[in-house]
Amino acid sequence: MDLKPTIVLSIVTTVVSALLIVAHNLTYVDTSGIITPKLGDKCVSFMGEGEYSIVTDWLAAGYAIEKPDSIEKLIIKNDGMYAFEIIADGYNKGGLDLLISMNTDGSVKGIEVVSITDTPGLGTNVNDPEFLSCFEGISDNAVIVKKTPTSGNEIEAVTGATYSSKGVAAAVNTALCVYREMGAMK
Amino acid sequence: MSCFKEFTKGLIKENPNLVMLLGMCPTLAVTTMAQNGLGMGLATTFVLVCSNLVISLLKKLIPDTVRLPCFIVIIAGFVTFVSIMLDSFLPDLSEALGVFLSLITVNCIILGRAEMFASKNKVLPSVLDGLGMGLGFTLSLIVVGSIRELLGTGKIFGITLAPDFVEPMTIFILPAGGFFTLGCVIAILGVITKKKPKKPDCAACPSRGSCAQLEAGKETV
Repeated sequence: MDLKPTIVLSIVTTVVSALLIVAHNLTYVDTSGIITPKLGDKCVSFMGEGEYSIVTDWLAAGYAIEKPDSIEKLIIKNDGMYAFEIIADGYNKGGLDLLISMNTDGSVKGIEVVSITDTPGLGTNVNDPEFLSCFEGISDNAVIVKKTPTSGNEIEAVTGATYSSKGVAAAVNTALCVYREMGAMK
Repeated sequence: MSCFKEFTKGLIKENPNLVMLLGMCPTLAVTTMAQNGLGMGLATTFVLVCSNLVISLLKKLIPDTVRLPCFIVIIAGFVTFVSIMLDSFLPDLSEALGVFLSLITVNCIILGRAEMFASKNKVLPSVLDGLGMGLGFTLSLIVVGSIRELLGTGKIFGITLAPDFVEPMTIFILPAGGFFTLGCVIAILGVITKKKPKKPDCAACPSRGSCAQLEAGKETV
């Protein structure tokens, strides 16, 4: 059996992969603890001008729990306002990057989209003020329905964007849940 | 063919997009704005030149049976490299191109030129061929993108050109308008370059067995 083709293909694949690993390591920037310029702009348009910072150690800051994996970042503004950055699955895994702020009574104050990598023209339609404002005031278990909503926590899905709509609802529910568990905000 | 001809043929006469009809999907997808077309075209040109260069260098080393997998790995490697670089240095362009950047890997133009040209020719002609084809692709993206952007939003490259009272026709930035514009551009280019329609090749036709023309004795070579 002629092994040469297999060997050549293996070598090509290995060399290409190795070069890409080097390129990736040279350019990778870990943004887990920083507010990137893009995120900063979104915060300003969502919560107004001010100084923003990220809470990296939740227990040290006085909350009841450690930062759960479901929350990407907890962003605090110097006047006391704050928002969760949550990355939820829409149609694509991790397709929805959202900022969600809460009222002191535990209900949702507002949602701002940081970025959506779902299908342009379909999933991206969830970035609509009319849809996002439906979540305001919800304090318990947001549910996406495909007909006219009958109760306060039901929200109609965006046409053609059911997965993305459910993703937004899932993010809201995560925010509600974590808010309840984390205890008093400073 | 002289080296210079290798470069110029890709620009108009053998334009990969408008004449050879390769790489249509990204054409329709990114030409909603002229500047996205420019960005995509330049990214594709870079990958095309690099992959043509490498494949031409390695043409004697890659056995025939695994040549397509090898080409694709090399092309995918360069696309991933461009993707990493854009993410780091030009994140806005990276977001505008979105998923279509990764789809450069399966752009027929790149694999097509690798298979048809780079694997059979020396390095310098291959590089020039890649450059010409890539720039021809970029040119066609800019032309189609400008038409669609101008008619669809009244702007070109973000600069508003249409007067206030002219209502833009949104359909041009939707898929239907894309197909229509592309078809018109291909047709007009065909007229300008005086391209003759292909004569049917009966010897290679798969429906030889049931052809009415053939039975009537009207075989064309």
